[in-house]
Amino acid sequence: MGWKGTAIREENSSEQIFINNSTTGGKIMKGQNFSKLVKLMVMGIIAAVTILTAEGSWAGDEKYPARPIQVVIGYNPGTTDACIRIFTDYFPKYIGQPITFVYKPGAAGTVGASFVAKSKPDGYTLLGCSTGPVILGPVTKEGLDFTLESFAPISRYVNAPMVLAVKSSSSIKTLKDLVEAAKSSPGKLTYATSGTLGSPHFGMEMFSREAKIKLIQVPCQGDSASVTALLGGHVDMGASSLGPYKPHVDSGAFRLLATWQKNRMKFLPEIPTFTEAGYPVVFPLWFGLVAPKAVPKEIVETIYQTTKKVLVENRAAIEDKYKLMGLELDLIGPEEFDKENKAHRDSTQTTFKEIKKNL
Amino acid sequence: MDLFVNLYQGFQISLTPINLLYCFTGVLLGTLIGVLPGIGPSAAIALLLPTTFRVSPVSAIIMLAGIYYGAMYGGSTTSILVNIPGEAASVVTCLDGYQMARKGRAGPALGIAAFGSFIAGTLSVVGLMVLAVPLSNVALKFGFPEYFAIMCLGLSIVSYLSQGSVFKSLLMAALGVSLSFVGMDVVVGKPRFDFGLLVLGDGVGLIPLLMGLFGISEVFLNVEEKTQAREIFQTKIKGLLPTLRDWKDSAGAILRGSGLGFFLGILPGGGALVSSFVSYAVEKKISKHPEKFGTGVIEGVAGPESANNAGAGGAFIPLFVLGIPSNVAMALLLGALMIHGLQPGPLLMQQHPEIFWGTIASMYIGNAMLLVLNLPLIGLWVKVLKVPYKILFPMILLFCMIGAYSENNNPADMLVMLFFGALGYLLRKYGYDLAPLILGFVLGRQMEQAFRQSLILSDGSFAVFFARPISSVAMALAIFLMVSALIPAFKKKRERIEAEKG
Repeated sequence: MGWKGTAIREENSSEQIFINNSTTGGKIMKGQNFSKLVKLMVMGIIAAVTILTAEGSWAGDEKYPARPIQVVIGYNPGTTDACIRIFTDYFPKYIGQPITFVYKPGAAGTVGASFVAKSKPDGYTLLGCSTGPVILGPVTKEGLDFTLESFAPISRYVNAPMVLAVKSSSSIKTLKDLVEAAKSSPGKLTYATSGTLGSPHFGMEMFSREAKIKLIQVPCQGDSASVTALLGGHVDMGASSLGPYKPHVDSGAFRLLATWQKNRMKFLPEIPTFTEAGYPVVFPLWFGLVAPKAVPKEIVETIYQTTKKVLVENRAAIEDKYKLMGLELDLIGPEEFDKENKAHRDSTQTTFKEIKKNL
Repeated sequence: MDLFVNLYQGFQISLTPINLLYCFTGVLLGTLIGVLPGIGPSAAIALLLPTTFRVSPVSAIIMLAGIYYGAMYGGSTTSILVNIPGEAASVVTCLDGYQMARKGRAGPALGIAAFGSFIAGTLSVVGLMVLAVPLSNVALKFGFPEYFAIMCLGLSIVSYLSQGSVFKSLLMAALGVSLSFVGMDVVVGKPRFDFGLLVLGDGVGLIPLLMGLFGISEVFLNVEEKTQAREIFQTKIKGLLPTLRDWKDSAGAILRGSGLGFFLGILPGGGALVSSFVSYAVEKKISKHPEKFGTGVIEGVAGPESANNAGAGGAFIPLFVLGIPSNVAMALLLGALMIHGLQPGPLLMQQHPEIFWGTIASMYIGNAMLLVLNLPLIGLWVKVLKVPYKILFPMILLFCMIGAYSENNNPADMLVMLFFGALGYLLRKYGYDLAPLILGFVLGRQMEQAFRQSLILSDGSFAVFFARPISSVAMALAIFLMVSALIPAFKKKRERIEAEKG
C-alpha cells in the first residue's frame, strides 16, 4: 500500500538500524572485526537522520494536503490512535494523502496537546485527543501553556460512553438501590476511578452532589487498575469509560447501572442515563481531532468533510469496529464541537471549584 | 486432553512459515534491543506496533511477544560485560555478572544466563498453559493491603543486596522510594516535587533513571580512570561455556528463580524486575557462602536471569485471561489486540483460542530460537571487551541518549538522564550501591498507592494491614527480615566503636 509517511518512515528507519546491526552481527561471526560493526551502525544512524531531516524541508503553496498529515497522540499506541485509524485508513483513497501518527505520551496527554498547540498551523500537524487533555487538563492542571482556546476544533467522531458499574453479585441493582444504600450507611460505599480529577472522578462527584449522598473514592492508577479493583471485589462500584469495562460486562461479571451520556448508548439501549434515572448529570467523553488555533478554515473544512464522506460511505464496517471497542459513532462538525466543548469546560470548571474545597 | 488438542492446534498455527518468520523477527529484535542499553522492550514494541497493522492478529501478537521475552534474554549481556543493565530487569545481574567478567569468566556468565533464561522461559510457558486461569483468579484476591504487605516484603530484601554497609543500602533504598514520589499524586490529583517541569509530570522515567545511574556514570568513572590500564584487558578470557561445576552450582538457582519469577510476574507492576531482586536475595540467603555474593558467583547470575525470564511469561497471564496489563509492554500488547479488532478480556480465550494457543506455541519455538541465537553470540559479545574505550564509550553514550529519548519521544528525558548520570557518578564514587535505589524506586510508587488506598478503605485504621492472612504473614516476614538484617550491623558498629575506644 502507499502507506509511507513521516511517522512510518521514522519507524522504518529505526528498524533499519536494527537490521543493519543484525546483518553485521552475522558477518562478525564469520570473523570480521568489531570496528566494521561500529562503522555500519553509525552509517545507518546518519542515513536515518538524513531521511528524517529531509522530510520536513519541502513545503510549498500546493493544494492541501500536498503531503502526509501528521496526527500527534498524547499517549502510547492504544485506543486513541486506533479509533482514528479506523477512518483515516480510508484517507489516501479520498484525499490522496495518508495520515501518520506521532506518539508523545506523558502527563495524561497534555504533553502531546502542548506540542500541537505550539505547532505551525499549516494543517499538517493535528492532535488526536479526547476529553482529558483539552478540557479537563487546562481546568485542573496549573501551569499548562495551553487552554481549550489554543485549538481549532475539527470534529468529534465517537463517544466513549462513561458508565457506572457494580459486580453482578452485588445487591445493588439500580441507581435507586445505590442511593438508598448510600443514605442508610453514609460514607461506607466505595468506588474505583482511574485517578483523582480524572473524568470518572468528576462524574461521580457530580452525581453524589446531585443525589446528596456521600461515597468514598478509591483512586487507582488508570482504568485497568480500576477494573482489577472491581473484579476482585475490593470496591463496591467502579466508574470508567465503557471500553475497559465492556469485556467484563459481556462476560457477565459486571452490571452497568447508568451512563453519563446525554442519550442512551446505541448498543446497550437498556442502560438508562443518569438524567433518566432522576439525577440530571451529564459528562460526555469522546475522541476527536483538533488543530492549532490559527489553522485556515478551509483546512478544517477539508478534513471534516473528508471524515464525513468516509464515515457515510463505509458506515457499517466502521461502526462494527467501534462497537467492539465500546465506542459509539457520532460525528459532529467544527461549530457544534466547539459549542459543546465550551459548555462542557464551563460546567467542569464549576464542579472543579466544588471538588477543590474538599481536596 | 483439551490441553493437548489446543496446544496441537496452537503449533499448527505457529509453525506456518509466515508465523515462524514473525516469531524469529520478534525474538531477534528483542535480543538486539535487550543488548542495546536504554532501548527497552516497551519502547521497541511501541515503535514496531504500527508496522503490524497489515498482518494477521496472531502473527502480530507472536512478533510483539517475541520482542518482549527476547529482550529479557538480551538484557543480561551488557550487565555482564560493561556493568550497564540492558533493561531494568537485569539490574541485579550486574552485581555478580560484571564481577565474573572481570575475572575473565564473561563466557560462563553469559552462557548460564542464556541457558537459565531458556529453562525458565520454557517452564513459564508450561505454567502459563496449565495454570493461567486458576492463577489469574488468585491474583484478583489480592486487595490493597495485600499489595502493600508484599511490597514491604520486597523492599525488606534490600538488606541482602548490599555489598558493603547495610546502612548505606537502606539509605539508597530510601532515596529510591523518595524519587518515586515525584510526579502526579493519584490520590489528590496534583503534581508534586516536579519543580513545575512538564517532563517530571509523570514522575522520573525508569529508563532515564536507569541509563543515567548505570550507563552514563559508568562512562564518567572510566573516563576518569583513563590513564590506568583497563583490568579486563589483562585478564585472560577463560572458557566460553559454563563448566560442569558451574551447572551444579546454578541448577537449584535456575529452578528457584523460575518459580519465583513466574508467580511474581503475575502481579501487576514490574513483576519480572522485582522477581530478579527477590531471587538474588533468596540465593544469597540459602547459600553456604553468602559472603562471596557480589564477587562473581554464578548463582548470582543464574537465579535472577531465570527469574526475569519466567516473570516475562507470568506477565502474559493477566493479559490473556483478564485483559488486564501488568506492565507497560503488556499495555501495548493490549492495544495491539484492540487495533486488530479483538476484545481483550475474559472472553478472548473462548472467542479467539487461536490467539492464546498460537502465541503459547510460538513461545516454545521462540525460546528455542533464542537459545540457538544467543549461544553463538557469546563469542562475539566477549570480544566487545576488547573494543577500545574511545570507541565503546561514545557508542554507550549514544545508545543511552537514543534510549532515553525514544521512550516518550521527549528530548527533556535526555537531560533527566544526564542529571542522574552525574548523581550516579558521585554515589558510586563514594561507595553507595545503586541496586537498592532501583528496587526502592520501582516499589515505592505502588507501595505508596496501596498504602493510601488501604487507609481510605479502612478509614485510617492501620489494623487493616494485619486483618487478613496474606497481608499479616507478609508484614510479619518483612519486619522479621528487616530486624534480623539490622541487628548484626548494629553489633558490628558497636564492636568497632568499642575497639576504637579500647
